Amino acid sequence: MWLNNRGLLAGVFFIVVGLFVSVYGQRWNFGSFTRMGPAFLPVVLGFTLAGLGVGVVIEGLRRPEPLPAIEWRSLFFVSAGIIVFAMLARAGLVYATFLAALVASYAEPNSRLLSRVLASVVITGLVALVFVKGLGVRLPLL
Amino acid sequence: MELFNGLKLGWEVASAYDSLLYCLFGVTLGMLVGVIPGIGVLAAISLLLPLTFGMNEVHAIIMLAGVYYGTRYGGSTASILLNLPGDTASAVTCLDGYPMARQGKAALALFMTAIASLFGATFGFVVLMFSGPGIAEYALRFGPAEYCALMLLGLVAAATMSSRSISKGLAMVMLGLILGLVGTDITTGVQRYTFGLFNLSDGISLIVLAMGIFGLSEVIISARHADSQRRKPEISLRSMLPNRGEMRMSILPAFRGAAVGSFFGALPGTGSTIASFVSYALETKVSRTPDRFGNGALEGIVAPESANNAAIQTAFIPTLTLGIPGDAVMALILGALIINGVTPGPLMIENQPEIFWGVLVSLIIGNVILLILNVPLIRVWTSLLLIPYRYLFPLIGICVAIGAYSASNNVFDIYFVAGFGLAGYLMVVLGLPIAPLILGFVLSPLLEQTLRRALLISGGDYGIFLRSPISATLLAVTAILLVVIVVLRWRGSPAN
Repeated sequence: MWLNNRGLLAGVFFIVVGLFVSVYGQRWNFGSFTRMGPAFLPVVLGFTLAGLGVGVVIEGLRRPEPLPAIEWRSLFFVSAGIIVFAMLARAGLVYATFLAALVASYAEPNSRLLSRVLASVVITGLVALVFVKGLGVRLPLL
Repeated sequence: MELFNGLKLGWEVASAYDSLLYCLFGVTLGMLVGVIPGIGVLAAISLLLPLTFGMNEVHAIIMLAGVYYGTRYGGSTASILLNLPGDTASAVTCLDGYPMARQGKAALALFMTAIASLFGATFGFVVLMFSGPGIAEYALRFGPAEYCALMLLGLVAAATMSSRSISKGLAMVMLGLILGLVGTDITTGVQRYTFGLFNLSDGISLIVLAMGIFGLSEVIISARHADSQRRKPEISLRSMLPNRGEMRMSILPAFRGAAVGSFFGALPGTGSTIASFVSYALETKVSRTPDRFGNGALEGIVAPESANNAAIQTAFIPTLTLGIPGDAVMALILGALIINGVTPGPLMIENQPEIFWGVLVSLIIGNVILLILNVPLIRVWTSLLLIPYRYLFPLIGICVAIGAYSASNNVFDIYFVAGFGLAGYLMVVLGLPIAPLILGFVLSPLLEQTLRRALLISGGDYGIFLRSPISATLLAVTAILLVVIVVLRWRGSPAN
């Protein structure tokens, strides 16, 4: 039961989500077959998902596949970049874009600071031009 | 014959100097907007809608239609080059288009997309010519039970199209269906799975989901290694053109795709999205080498692109003759028509044939324009790939963020897209096919509605699905499909 099994992890994920959806969905009206309530489909789908999850686990045990290497660095910096953008977007597109691009660029460890900053400046310029001037996206520039 | 009169009339209208100009304008604009990752058809059309006020209505729709498929093509360009679909129908193009680009065949992919689109549009037009009113009639025979069965078939087809694991595919479909249920239930007004978050009460935005799961996850995967994994794209004119073998392998998929597209386009309520998915799934079933799909199979883009455009053509039937739009874009176009004083409906072909036929012919002309425009432009797009990825990927990330924001002018969506990016990465790590999730998500509301209505009509009796010949056939095909795939998988596994 080594955790390095793709199928196993995926299956467990499905089972957990499926059960959660079904159980959580019971707070609404299930309704009858004639008049499906809001809970009908969620509960049915949730159980089906959990059932399929069992199938995926079995497959995973029969034909184990190892997990590929996880790009933690990329994961962290790209998400951080997007979140920085989200936090600053309303304050000014220019700040948001520049900082977000800068942060995200760290996903690539082999660049120099200068090229990162330059690239971010160019990106900011492009974005400001195309999205705000060109397409009228509703965000304050500065 | 009446049809050929229509064709003649359409040609006269569409090839008039100013119609051509508007078509060119619409197509070019649409394409440029569509290339920007995350900006899709809806955004483009909404931007241009105000321009149509005061325009001659034929010119208005010609332009809007041009924007529609121009944006689609641009979206395919983004899908192929960056794995960032501009909208859902382009998402399917990512599956094989992006691998093709990684193998250096971006120019070929882009060129074949244009050709396939032209083919699909022409095929759709021919279908239209010969069966316009007949199609509308047939389409009306599709009640809720039939639609529901059709959705089911589409979903099962999508689930089984990944060559790996059916359980995973089906599970992803379920997950997509569940995600589609998040938000306010239209029929009862109950808020489902919103956990008190106001931002979720309208449900998850499709663009946010697709961009995060496809685009951001791709950025995460590639940020470090992209340049080493990517072959330098071939940019010469000759590299765009398919060789004989590639041409031969594209013909049948193009036909199949166009047939599928014509079918789904004509049905009110379904459109190019489901057409492209089903067409892709069909190709994976029909192919003798299904393992090539997902790794740069040319059929994997030719068929869906052909389906796409055929669907757009035939979608004008229910839109123009029944006033029932096939998807949100058609709804917008319908709105534009009404604003301009045109009343769509069964009498439209009789009373205003120049609009009906003019638009249809302009679709073909527009695709020709796209093809011509793009021959030089393909070089430009593929040269963009020469930029080292380390500079490109932050830009892509920002585009995704802005695209997510502009879906509903909501900063919250940017957080969501980040979340979906993580989820998408998780799915890739776990080896889960993403496309079935997207289709499940898109079809979820329709599935629930049609199921509800079917059961309501039949009084809770599931027999309604079996009594209707159309529905019964569809369900039978679905069952057969499942059984065949399972059997093939079981027989295959000892050999593996």
